[in-house]
Amino acid sequence: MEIHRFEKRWFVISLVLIIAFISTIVYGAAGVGVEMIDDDGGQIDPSNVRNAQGFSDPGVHSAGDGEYDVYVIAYQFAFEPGSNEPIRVPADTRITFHVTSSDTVHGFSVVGTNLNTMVIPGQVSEFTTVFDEAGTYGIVCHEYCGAGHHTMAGTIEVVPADEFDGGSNATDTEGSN
Amino acid sequence: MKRGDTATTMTRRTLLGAGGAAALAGGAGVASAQSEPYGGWFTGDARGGETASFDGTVDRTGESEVTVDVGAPGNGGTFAYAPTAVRVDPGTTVRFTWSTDNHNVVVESQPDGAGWEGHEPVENTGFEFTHTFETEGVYTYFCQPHLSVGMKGAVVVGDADVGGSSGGGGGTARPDFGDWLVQDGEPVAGGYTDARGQSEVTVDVGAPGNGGTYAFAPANLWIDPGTTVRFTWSSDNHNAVVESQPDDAGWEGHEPVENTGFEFTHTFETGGMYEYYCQPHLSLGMKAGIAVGDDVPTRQVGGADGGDGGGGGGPTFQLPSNDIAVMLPGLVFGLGGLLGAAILAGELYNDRKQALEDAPAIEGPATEAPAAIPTVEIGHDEYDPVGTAILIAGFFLVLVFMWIFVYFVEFLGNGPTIVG
Repeated sequence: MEIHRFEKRWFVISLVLIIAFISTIVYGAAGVGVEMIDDDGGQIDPSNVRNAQGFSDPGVHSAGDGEYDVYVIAYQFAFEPGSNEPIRVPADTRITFHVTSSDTVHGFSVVGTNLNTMVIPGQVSEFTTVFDEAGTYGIVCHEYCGAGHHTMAGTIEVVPADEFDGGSNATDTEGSN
Repeated sequence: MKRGDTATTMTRRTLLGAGGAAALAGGAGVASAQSEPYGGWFTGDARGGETASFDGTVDRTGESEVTVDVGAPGNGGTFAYAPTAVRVDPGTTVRFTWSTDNHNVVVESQPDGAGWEGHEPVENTGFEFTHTFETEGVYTYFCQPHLSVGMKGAVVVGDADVGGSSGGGGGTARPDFGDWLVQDGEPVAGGYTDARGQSEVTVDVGAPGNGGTYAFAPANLWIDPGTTVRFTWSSDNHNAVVESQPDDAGWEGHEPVENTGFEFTHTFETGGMYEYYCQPHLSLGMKAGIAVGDDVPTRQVGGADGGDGGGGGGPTFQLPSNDIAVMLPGLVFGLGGLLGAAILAGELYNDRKQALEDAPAIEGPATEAPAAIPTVEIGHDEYDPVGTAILIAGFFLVLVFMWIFVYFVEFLGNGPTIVG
């Protein structure tokens, strides 16, 4: 079978493109460290969220080693903390979010970033990130959750690491800015 | 400053919701806030959504302790205070008891000199707190997480006037069918008629309401014993199935499904509460009740027109047709598009017609034409489809560009990113 030389060329280019696409993904995962959300967060009893590990006192807690854990409960139609008071976290620090729902399916999407996850009753959605810059980020629920879904929103306040006053709880630190 | 930013974001979303609610309220022809009880607190014109669970002020005067269920069914979920509005004597202790999760009690307004603080922390099932209301007047409050769906309440202490067309003082009594005339937390459509003193009353079967022509009108009817009720079908495919009636009453309803124009009558002799429904449309809330005689359970309603849906359907969908600025571009683009499509279609038609006319007439019986013989034959390597090659090269360039843009600019450039 004879193949025209033009066809041979774009056959080769196609293969090169596929290899390039795969290598960018590999670069994203290995070089930049992009991860997918999986079921590492574990499962809890959705009817008894507030007695589960970490969720009895939702908020920002020090995890040691200069890292912080943020426990957030989503319910119709608010994030706790987040809606009534902003979640205050330090910049340039590894922050691990643990988000769960006590009623129905919600979403946790930090607007304008790559941070978003479904929030499923009984499942803890866990992800780690680093906020490079101080600033205010909005959180919205991006899974339809009921009649008040459009009002379900919250705020993350990222403060410079040297201004962050410890990892007690967002409630305790409010008003000290 | 940062708090200010938050407020701006919230306002935009809240405004969208409030605007929609206001438009719906306007479409349904709700009277202005001044003539509504509680100054319109339970309408969509106030903060948050319309409070569907509000069905008049429940009179609980004469009791020393009254319980308000926080998170009762209503307002499209478990988002109601029950009773939503309650009248108590001064000095009455009101116990707020959480029956579902994630609610609070935020005070919206209270009389001068009253110092009620509500309970702002969000609490869960089983929590309760009490407050003893001493100062006379109207107290309004709401649940912050569910304000948008209308989780609002009121406590009236003493003889305070709550406003509304019939004024305060408990309003008028009407038969209380409990949850029977409620569908998904909303009162069913059809309205209320007090026909006591009349010998014959007509019930419209298939009146507008409940999202179509799925209402009995009136849904809540109060008659004297011995009154003949004429059920008249005004739309198709309805019946009247008896759900409950007094023990010694023998009403059979009319179970065959009938169409427009059908009617039957029944004379209600036995006093008590009769509940019936339309089987095909039960799930839509096509339910009704007839109270016979004066010895029936009643409840107080505040406004003469409040309560059972007033005969209208649910909220009506409203086209933005009032706003010419919205409609005009749509109209222009729509007509322009149609015109463009018509012109293109015309040209295509003419081309095709021309091509058919230019084609040589076929003579004799149709036969399979022999393949045309090429004038010049070229070898395999002499054939150079340069145009095709350039086109494909262009596609590759676009592909590479899109990939770089999507992955590196849109995705990786859009940090922070999940890194663990």
